[in-house]
Amino acid sequence: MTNDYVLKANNIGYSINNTKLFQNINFEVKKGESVHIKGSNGSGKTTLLRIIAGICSSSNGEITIDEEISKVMVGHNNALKDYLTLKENILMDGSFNIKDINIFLESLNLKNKLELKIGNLSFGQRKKASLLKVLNNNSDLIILDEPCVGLDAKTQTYLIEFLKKELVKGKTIVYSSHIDMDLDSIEVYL
Amino acid sequence: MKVLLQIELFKLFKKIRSWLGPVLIFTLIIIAYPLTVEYSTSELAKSFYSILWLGALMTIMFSTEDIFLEDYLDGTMDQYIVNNISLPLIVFIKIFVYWLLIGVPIGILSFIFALVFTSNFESSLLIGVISLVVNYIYFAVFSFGNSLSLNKGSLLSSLVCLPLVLPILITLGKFITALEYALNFYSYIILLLGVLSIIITIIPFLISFILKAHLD
Repeated sequence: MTNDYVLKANNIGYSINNTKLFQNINFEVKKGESVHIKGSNGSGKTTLLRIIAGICSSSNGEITIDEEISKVMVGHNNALKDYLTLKENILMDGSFNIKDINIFLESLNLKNKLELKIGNLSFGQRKKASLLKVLNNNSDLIILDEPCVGLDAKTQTYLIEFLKKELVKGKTIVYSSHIDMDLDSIEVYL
Repeated sequence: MKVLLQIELFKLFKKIRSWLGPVLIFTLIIIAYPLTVEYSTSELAKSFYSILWLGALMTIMFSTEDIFLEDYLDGTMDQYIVNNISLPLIVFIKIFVYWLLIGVPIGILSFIFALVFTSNFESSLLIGVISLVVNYIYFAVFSFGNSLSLNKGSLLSSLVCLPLVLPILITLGKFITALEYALNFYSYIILLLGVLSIIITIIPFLISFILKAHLD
């Protein structure tokens, strides 16, 4: 990219069976900035995040992302294996070990759940487990789809404070949320 | 690649039902077969190979049913793309791991059963090796089928794929005839290896293209 923008959405649109889900979405985001994607249920927030992450393609327009940046995404599907323990899931990720994330495990109250299978954890605990990917990452672009859903108030505050610090470090965050995360974000309405 | 191979191997190994189940079903088919007919030993040996090839075919068809479905549903496939991990590489590794944990044991069991039924070590060994090659082809073809109808019931697609493996079954029949009558059977082995080499190269790209279309 020739300017400072990490991510640029130019006239993005998405259609399913000739029905337009959203269209003409434009925004630009720099390092240290965040984008809050807002909209009602079914308006296409998840789809837009998936387009930004490169998982699916838009029907119109284009997303330009700085080629040198790395991405991390946590969506509704947490990529955790029910038949493996939390510890095995963490180790299987390959990007970190238990020692590195001890502090996060303690903060999220997951340390004593390491030997439990994911299938035996509650929805909120699974959500916390999937957020470990974000908490212990060095990615420049963080993509979050409803990160606060299923989290208790204490964990929500912990996550929001963490994300604020990441923004100060120069990370870029794109997220959808029905609650105000107070990240001073650029707002995009679908 | 080594890390991805270890991860996929670990994932499948932990799902004991997914790899031990098919191996046990194959064993059951072969063991149950002589109990259901009243053939003499020589007649059993003649029809044994048909049961062997069909047993392996059906077992592999059912064992590949969830080869991509789990990763597709739980978001693992999304993570591969977000992390810029090559989809054809993942597909290749998945097929290889399934072959390693299910196809190889079936190949070894094929050798053992062939030895029991025919009492001929050399031909049994050859059967074992051919089984290994054919099992990989089956895994690749049925994985392709399952990728086609990933979230619409993969069984139907597997049945659609059956005609694709019919030429392999015909080749296996010719191979057995040549083996029994001491004719030249190497041409059939070369043919199967040729099919294997094409499948190893092409199928991962085809499947990854289909998977990407599903994610879209």
